[in-house]
Amino acid sequence: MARCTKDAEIHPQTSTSSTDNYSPVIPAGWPQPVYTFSTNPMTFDGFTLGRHLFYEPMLSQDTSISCGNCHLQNFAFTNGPGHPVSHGVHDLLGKRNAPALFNLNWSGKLMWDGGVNNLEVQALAPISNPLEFNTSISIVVNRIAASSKYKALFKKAFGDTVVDSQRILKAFAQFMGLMVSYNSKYDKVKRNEDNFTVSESHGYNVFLSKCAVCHNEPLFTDFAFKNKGLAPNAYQDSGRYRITGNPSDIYKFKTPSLRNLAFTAPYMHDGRFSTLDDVLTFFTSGVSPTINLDPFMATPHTITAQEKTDLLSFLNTLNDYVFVNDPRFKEIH
Amino acid sequence: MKKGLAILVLIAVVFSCKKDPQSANPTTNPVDPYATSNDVTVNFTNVADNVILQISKDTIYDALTPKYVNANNDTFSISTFKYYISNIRLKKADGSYYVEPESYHLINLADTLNTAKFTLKNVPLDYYVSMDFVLGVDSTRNCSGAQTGALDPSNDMFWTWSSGYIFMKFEGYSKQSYFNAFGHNLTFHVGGYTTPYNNIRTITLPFNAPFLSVTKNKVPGLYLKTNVLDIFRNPNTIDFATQNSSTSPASVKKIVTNYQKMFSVSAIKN
Repeated sequence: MARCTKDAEIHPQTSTSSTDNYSPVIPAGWPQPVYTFSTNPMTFDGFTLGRHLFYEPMLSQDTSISCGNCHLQNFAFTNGPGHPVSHGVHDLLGKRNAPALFNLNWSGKLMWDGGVNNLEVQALAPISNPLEFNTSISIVVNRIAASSKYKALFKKAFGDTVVDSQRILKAFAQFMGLMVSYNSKYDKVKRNEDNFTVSESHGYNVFLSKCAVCHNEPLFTDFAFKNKGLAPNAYQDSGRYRITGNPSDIYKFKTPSLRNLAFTAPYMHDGRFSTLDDVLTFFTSGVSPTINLDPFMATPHTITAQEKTDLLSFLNTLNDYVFVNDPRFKEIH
Repeated sequence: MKKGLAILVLIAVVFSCKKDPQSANPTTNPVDPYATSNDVTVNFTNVADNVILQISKDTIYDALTPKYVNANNDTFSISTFKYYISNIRLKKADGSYYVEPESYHLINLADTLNTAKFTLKNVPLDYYVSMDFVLGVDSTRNCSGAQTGALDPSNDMFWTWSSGYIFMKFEGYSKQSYFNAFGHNLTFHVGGYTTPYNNIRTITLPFNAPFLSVTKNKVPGLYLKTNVLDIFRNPNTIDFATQNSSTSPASVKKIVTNYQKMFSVSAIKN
């Protein structure tokens, strides 16, 4: 895939004035993204079409739910507390926790099992999943094409009213691709605009010694697939194995980002942990020695009460209140 | 005051876009003496050995009426048969190639009128001794995001849970198939573009003398046969009682080994 040129780099701004911006964002010091919009030039009208589609219930079989039902902005586009797994049409329960939507351009493979290989084809997965929208892209194209509202939106975005799957999917990628979360306190500290407290600073050191091996800065994930020792759930979810067919991928799931944890509970691929306390307890004393267990998890990890307090202080610096309140991503009809 | 009478004459001209090379008439289509290239038509006929393949009509009776017999003596009928032909190349005697640009074709048994015949444009005037193509879709287009035309995911040939194209979709009915909630179904979906389950196969079809001759006078036709029975035999005889539903890259190994031999050249009309 083509790489973004240096010209496209946009230096982060400290205030919410960045919300006027509808150009792809690559914060200073971040790696080059995997998805670069090279064949999908971002425009305000393309983004706006994507925003309407994201909140469009016509995408679901019985027109009851939209993407926004399981991906709520105030929960960093997760489903929120009390929803360990996603909810589809007819109140059907999915099998995995609705993943957070931010910094997706940097994630080459999307979804907990990495089954989706390009941001532009991501929307196809929930559309056709029988436990989610339970419809098909051809049905969605027909419904959108018949809607007078979308005729106007397509004309603005693409110059004419032709509706096809490619335009729908590219508009989706524009909307989701602009969801870049880079205005947490941590980011401001890195930009020399703020300072860690003593506890946060100690917690940063705990993070570096115990978490950073998988949750690499600045995105706080290595985008790798690992079995961190969660006991198999009732679905016997084999994770990445379902995609690759490789037995060495059984029980492996993508490392989630540690950004925005205050908004994204419950945690893990099946939302089994309600609090960060539960998560840390798991990491110190709950690891199951299942096959393909990550070597880092195979050795026991300990954490003192003080370290835990400090670590939680640091993790709280990764919450991006600008992002979860950004008016560009709010529900629209 | 007397108004003039306006007479509107509407002339409807209906163009019949028939591109049958056999009907090309040099007197109505003057040959461009300076032409350096011409078109080539490619025509696929789906068969079960010597019988032209038919899709089951949308009735229970017809769907459940077996029409064909596989190498294992299992009878079956077909409700869906679609496959991608991509990256077509024609090889000249000197070893160089004509390469079709943006070469993606979806052949659909349910719509042979519109899909089983297409035209290679601007093929340089020359002799061509063989053709090759990818059965399926090259790895690049499997991961290049939202595509259009033959590769539009609306064609229902794209895996959404594990991104990538379905190279061949065969669905049907066999009494020998395990009975499940949906009846005696046959479901074979071939795809997969990454190791160790890379199921992309390149097919080479040599032409016999006098080969394919592209001249400025005439659009030649390539007539290819796709034999559905080859999916289920040689070297792997598929027993529908034990293998009737394979829909992941890892599970179609035997099918892939077989089905790359399902094409042959039936005629070249120069």
